Amino acid sequence: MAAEVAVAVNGLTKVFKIPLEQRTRLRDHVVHLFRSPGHRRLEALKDVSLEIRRGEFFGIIGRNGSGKSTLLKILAGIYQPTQGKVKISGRLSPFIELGVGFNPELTARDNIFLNGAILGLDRKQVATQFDEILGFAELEDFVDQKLKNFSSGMLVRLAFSVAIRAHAEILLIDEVLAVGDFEFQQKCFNVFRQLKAEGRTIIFVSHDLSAISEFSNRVMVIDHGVVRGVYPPDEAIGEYHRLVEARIEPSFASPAQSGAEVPSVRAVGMFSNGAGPTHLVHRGNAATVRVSMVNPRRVPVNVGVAIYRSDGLYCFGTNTFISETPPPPEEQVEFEVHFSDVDLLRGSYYLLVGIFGEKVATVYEMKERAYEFRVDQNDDYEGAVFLPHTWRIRS
Amino acid sequence: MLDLNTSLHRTRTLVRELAITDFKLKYQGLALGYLWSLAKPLMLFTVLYFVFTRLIRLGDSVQNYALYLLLGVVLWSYFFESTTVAMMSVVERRDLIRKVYFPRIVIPIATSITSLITLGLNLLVVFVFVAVTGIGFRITLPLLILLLVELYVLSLGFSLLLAALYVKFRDLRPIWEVGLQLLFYATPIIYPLTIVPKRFAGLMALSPIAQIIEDSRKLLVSPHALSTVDYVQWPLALIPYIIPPAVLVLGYWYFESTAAQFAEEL
Repeated sequence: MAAEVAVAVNGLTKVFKIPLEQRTRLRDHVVHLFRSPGHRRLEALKDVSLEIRRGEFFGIIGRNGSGKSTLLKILAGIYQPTQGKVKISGRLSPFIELGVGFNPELTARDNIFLNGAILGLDRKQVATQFDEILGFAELEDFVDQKLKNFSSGMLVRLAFSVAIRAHAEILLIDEVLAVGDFEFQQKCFNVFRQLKAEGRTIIFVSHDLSAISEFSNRVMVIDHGVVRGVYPPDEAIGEYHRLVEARIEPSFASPAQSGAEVPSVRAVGMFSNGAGPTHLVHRGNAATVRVSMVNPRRVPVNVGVAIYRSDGLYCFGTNTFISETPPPPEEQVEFEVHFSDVDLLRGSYYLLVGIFGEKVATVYEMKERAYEFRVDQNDDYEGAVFLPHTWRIRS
Repeated sequence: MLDLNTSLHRTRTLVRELAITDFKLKYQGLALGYLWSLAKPLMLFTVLYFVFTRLIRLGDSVQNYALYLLLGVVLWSYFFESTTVAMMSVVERRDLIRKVYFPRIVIPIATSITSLITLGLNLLVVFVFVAVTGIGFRITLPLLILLLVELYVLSLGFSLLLAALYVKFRDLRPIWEVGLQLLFYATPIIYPLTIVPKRFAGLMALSPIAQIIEDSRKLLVSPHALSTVDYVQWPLALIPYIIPPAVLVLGYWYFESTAAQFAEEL
């Protein structure tokens, strides 16, 4: 049925003409009246076609500069397609970034009305939801403060809180969760679950692969403006990793020549009851972190793996030195850290992988955010970790 | 149809919110913010009044010169302010344009409304002046509204044109300001059209701003003030009335035909 398609994109191509010289003044145009400025053509999107069904949570992943933001801006109507057609059925929320149009010189109250108007809400609609907006953002005590006195976390909370009131059938979300503290991120994820349950169509662009894999029905992988394919989440993430690794590969081809003689991390993966790498672990399940590394000079090393929560909380760290399993002095080493129980609680986490000299004093490589994953749970325990416990009643 | 209705409603809401924001930002932090909006034209008026009644004595030949001058300065200031502020409005809102879709025309329209509010406040002072000097209001006073509509149409037309051009040509501002400077002296603001030699007066009377200022003086200050029709033959006398809608059509057409590209050019 045609009505089931929320977004249809057909043969979409976007070319940016980047002038080789800047002509932003009338003078420049007069001086160079008979010489047209050269242009460099930048093809941001090449023949992109896709269909997004109503009620679908559609993820888009790709490296920086792959064209995913350009695609979103064309869907939003901000950029015009060079070729091809875009058909949107249903009201689209016209925001790409949060807090657009916020004015630091105005109070939170004024900004809520202004931002609401930008998102398509009139004064009455904002007024009836005003308390909810403030409540969700936890900013009741700051209504009449100017925004310039707000912290970045407060701004994000306020912006997100207004944005979710826009009664759009189709939502475009671009990297909104990169900021904000942990507690609030959880609240945002809850809103996503709710929106998904309400049958809204959500198009979500993110680098947070764990969030992508948890929420998306289908995920599109895009690279250099070309659609690589639309897959189920785990396959898409696999494809994405292949893309990223394919790009890294050449620099490892001849480590001796490129001067990369120091030990370095080649790949990081996480596995949990399944064959392929995963970005989702259930609390209490086993999980394995696999790290492969190259060590051209076969120097003695100490390899560390640490788990951080997305807000930066250092949860756990281990290394080959303290666990007394020094890696063998070979050019290529692959090893695993096996966790028999992942007792972390629901949230987003990332791994930091480091290669040090024998006693941490020398740092060969520190790979921050080497791998991202989410932990989910079936119960409602709260906090950072699950501590095995029992309750006893002593009346 | 429903779609058109909601999008019109949305546009109206956005124009209002942006205009309110502009207005709040313009005057906040100043305890007498509203009075401040009067200060600029009043200062200009005071200086000009002093120069042309005490030093050059140009005003002696004109009855009620003070009011003559004040009205001219207030109307001119509106045209000057609204077009120069609107010219930069689109570029100044580049953040919004690059990140959200909404009809781009909302931006210069919101700015034009903010300027209109300031004009209204300034006209209140003119009315007080009329009452105090004992000239009194005539029955034809409501016709002034038509002249204000004409002035708004003219300013909005230039505003749309300039705002869209400024995206491409960032040196437009000094050019426009110099042009306005010339126009200021070529318009009967500090002097009445009556003292200009006939052959120049005819040409000057074709300017819609000259016509608007002279016609409002006729309504508010002295029925003996001369206007375009007194200088030019009748089919030509239509010219100043045709220019404002023509500029608005041109400005609207140019703005709308370039608006889709703003996000990429900013």
